[in-house]
Amino acid sequence: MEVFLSLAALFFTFLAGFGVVLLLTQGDSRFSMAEIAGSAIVLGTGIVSLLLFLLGLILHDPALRWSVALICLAIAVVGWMRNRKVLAPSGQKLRSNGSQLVLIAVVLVQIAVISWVSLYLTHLGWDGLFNWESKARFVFLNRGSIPLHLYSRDFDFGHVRYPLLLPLTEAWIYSWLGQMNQSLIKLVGPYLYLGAMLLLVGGTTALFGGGWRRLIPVVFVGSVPTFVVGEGSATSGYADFPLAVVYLSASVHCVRYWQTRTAGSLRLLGATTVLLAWTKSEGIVLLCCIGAALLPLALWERKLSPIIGGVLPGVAMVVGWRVFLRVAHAPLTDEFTPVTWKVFVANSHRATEILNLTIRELGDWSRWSLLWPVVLMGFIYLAVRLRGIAWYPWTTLILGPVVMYPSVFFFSGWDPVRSHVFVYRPGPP
Amino acid sequence: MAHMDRHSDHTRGRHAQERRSERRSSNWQSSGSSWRASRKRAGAGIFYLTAAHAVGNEKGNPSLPFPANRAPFLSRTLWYDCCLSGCQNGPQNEQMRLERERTVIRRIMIRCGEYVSFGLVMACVTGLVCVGSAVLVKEVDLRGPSVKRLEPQATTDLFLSILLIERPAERLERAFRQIGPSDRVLFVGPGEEPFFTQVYYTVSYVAFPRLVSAVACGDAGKEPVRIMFQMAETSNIKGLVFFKVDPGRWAMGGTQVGPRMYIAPHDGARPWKSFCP
Repeated sequence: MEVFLSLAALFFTFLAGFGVVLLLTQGDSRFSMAEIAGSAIVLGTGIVSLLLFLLGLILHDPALRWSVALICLAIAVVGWMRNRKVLAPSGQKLRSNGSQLVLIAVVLVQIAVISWVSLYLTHLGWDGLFNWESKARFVFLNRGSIPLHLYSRDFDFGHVRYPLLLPLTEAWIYSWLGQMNQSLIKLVGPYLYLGAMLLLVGGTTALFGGGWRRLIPVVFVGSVPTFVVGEGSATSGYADFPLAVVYLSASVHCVRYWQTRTAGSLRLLGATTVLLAWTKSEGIVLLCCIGAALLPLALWERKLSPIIGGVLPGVAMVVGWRVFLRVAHAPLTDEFTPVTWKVFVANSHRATEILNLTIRELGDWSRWSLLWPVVLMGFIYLAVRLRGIAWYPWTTLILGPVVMYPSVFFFSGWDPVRSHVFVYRPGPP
Repeated sequence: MAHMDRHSDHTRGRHAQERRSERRSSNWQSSGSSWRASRKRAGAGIFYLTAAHAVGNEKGNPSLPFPANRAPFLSRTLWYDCCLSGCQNGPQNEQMRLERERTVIRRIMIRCGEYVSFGLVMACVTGLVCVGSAVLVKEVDLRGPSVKRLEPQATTDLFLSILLIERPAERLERAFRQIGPSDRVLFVGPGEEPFFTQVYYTVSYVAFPRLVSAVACGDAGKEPVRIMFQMAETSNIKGLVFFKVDPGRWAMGGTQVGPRMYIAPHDGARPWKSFCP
């Protein structure tokens, strides 16, 4: 029964995302079922968490729960009525062949394994409990809404400045369960993993065509240990994997926009970038990568619509969250110094150490398996095969985070910086 | 002459068609359908060569003479492919024949490239699956708790397992009921204890919405090692949590939570270090 209620809660998030995706893709029938469903999973969690945050300021459970559920249902119905054609414009989308059946089987097996590992390894981990689930607990004990005194009463443990997509999604499950259950909220990981698989399948089909090669990214992602087990993986309670899925969704829509220049892709991209900074503070770094990927388009076409539609919603979320923290008197942290040229120059001596630590991290096969060598091969393939500057968004979206994440430590407030790096990277210093 | 011209036009047309086919084949990665078509061509090509070879060998086909002055690396199989693909009556022109040899070799090399790249991809995928499975098996300790036991407080219980009791989180929650939800609590423990921070954070988590500060005691009679989330020492403390520290006289009216923890109500503001032994 408890598992059923948890899945019901997740189903409502899917409904909300499904409706929003249908509304955003109006007039654009180029999206596959996999892309629509994958985007719905990602956007749905964002919509429900934002609704819980905003409505929670004026409502409490059970009114809050039923209001959010009704809004989810209403969004799905409106989306269906306005754009039902996108789902089955022709029989082609529903036709199946051997490769599709194998693909479905591989995805289902992976979801089964991820779900089993999530429920088998029931513990959430340090960050999963103190940084993320603790807020879901506080929300549940406060009858569904975020307790504002959390930000002003010296509750310094648990990083109160962290955004709330994951905690409020977990609180949404608690609300449906009527009790707290640290084991069942781990279903969020497999749910988002399913979204990632669907986005990979949809994105690969749209960008490179169908057939057996759609299997490659699906098997590829499922075989990288850091995505499946350990801290930050889909089976942990950390926000790193949800952030990765949101970034994957944004990347797929970004590359699609590069390819098709359709308004539907841009609207989906904009809606997804909102969730980057709403999932984790590091989302700002990824938002910069999306901006860098879109910049040449804006310059080339001499219009601001790619930036306004694709990046500005994410920037608005960053600003909005900061305004909320300021209004709520959230305490400032000293983990990072202000991002200025002066600080960068002063800390430039860290470059060698940061580079060494980055190479060491990327070369850790027990965490990344053969991911980075294969990515390198992929770059060579793209450089040889893709014409014009079609390689640019791929390169920026993949290499951007690899370069920018370590660069953040130039602005670390910790000395020595090595100790700060190892807070983010599990394992012995 | 007219016949020769028609033959020449036909040959040129075939050459152009072959060049187009090669271009399409070399660009197979740019679209899914051409990639599939290329793979089918590659499979058909192998079958074709084998079949042509067999026919040539078994029937000793007189219309397919194997020339002595062939390119040194061109096998008999490729030669039959060359002949069957265009010049059924044998090469009339030496230049044309050499051109055809080169075309076939190019085609074979493209096919080999496809097979090599396919093999590389398969090797990568196999490697990834093997490494991923090995790490998964290593990480997931199959002797752990059963899936049937989806404990509501699994992580909290794990972090409090040092208390050496069953369901520590539940017992701790029960013990905290004697302290009001808006009251302040002080956690007292030994500074040198490696699990001090873990237990303190978990107690703070369980005690919410009560605000919990901590004092990490030094050796007997010495100053505290550190104080965490300090509120004013004049704050009225309504509860005390002793972890691996003898509560002494503060134990009165309290609840023991296993052999290592004691929770007691308190009322008043005192210097925090006075709670250390």
